[in-house]
Amino acid sequence: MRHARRKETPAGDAQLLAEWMELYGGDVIRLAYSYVHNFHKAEDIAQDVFLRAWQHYGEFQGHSSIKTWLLSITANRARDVLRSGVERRELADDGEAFARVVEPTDPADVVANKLARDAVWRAIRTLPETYREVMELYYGNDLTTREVAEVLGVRDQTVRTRLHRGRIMLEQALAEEGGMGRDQA
Amino acid sequence: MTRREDGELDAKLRRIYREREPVPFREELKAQVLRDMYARSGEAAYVPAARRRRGWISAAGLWAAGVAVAFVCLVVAVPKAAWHTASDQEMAKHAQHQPVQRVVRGYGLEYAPIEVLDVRVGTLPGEPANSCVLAELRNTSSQTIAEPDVMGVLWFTPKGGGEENWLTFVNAPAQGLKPGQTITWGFHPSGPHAGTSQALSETPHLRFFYSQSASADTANLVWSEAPVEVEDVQVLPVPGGSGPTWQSADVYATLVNRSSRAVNLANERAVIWFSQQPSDTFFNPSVVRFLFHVTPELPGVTWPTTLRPGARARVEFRVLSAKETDFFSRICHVVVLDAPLVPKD
Repeated sequence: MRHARRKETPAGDAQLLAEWMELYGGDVIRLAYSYVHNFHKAEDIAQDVFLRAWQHYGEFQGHSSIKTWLLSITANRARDVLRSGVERRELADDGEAFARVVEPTDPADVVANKLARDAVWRAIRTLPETYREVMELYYGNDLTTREVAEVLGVRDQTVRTRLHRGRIMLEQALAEEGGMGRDQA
Repeated sequence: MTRREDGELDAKLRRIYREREPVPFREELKAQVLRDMYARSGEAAYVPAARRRRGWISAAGLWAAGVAVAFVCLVVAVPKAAWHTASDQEMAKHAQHQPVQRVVRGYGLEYAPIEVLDVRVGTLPGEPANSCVLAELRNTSSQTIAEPDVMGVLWFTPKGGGEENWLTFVNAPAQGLKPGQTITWGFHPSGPHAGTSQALSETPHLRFFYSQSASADTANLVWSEAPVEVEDVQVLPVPGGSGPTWQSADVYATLVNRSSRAVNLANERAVIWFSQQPSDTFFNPSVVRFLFHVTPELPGVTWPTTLRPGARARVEFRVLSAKETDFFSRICHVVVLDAPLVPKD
């Protein structure tokens, strides 16, 4: 349903929606990707997220930022998609698709950095979704723990706990990979 | 893990996440969202302040119940962001009661003031005999026409007559055309219309258009977008697909029929362009553009002729350009248009 908070004209709607996509489109796709690990599915989710946001803008209370609200819809939508079971069979992408390679000039450093980075991403991907989503929102989107809590609909303390446990699990996973983590960064 | 170690890992994670590439939100995706928004709102198209350079044409017609005739005329040029599509179902619903607006997405093209005379098969220096198209071009305007101002479309029809069966974009003469000036223009096409000797056996046709989208008032021709969405565009090098002066690349795309009717891909054409900016359309003089039939041409490549509603097909086109063309640092766009793209001569 359309609500009074919505701008009344389609021109206003289009402008608003285009603005959201411009500002937060990448964040939405990235968060969706962190769940489904498939870029095209992530784009599908993003498309759905913006349409849902547009349809439900009247219900947006303004207690959080638009970004937090959009990420919240994204997280819910991505979980729905995963729960549907269809996407689990399609987790085909290999590695962290959006990881940028910032290459040092020394070839030895290049290899070491790449190995370390790859190891971290591999380890992150092995984390249970509960911890991975918190990491993505906290580190990947620069949200505060309180904002992460808003997105996920949990308490601030829960987010802090998950972040801490997630880092411990990550440390263990990296140690199992052969110490490619903390010491070589 | 000690507090210090936890802090180190925290800093490291923050750095690693920040080093990621920004994720693009493709223009096509934005347009799709806006299109869906309009479809869901059921409101008429509007003309917003132009945010993009992309020019699109709306065509409005009358849709009368029980009458299989639609009067389609251009009404307004709107940016892609303003697309409004009425679905077939919506139309059928309204058709029982009243005329409704039908909006066609597409591109408006305006003829350039270049008279094309004596289009013929001939031979350019260094090319195989009768493998080229020659024509006399005359600037009928009082302004000099520079090469980037216009874009040409060259197409072939079978010898005995018939519809266009192969087409390509061509450039105007590099030196431009002064007012009233006539020059001989030549082009060596490559493609399946040529036999093994490369001699052209079909009838060539040529037309030049302004290299910019035309408004409803000035468009001579509308290239209507097919109800086929293009997803997952990829560009890959062709192993061994380059020479001293040329290079090729394969463009892959997934076509999705978003309409409620089957689409015969033989009646569709693909425009592929490589741009430096995401918002550049194929009109932009800086892009590298190609035209294709949406039928398999490459050995071993197949896809269905008919795309059922909701069905997908992975298609592949091979593009060829000068060695210096930076295919892989540009943004590749693919759009599917309804044939014909060429005027009736």
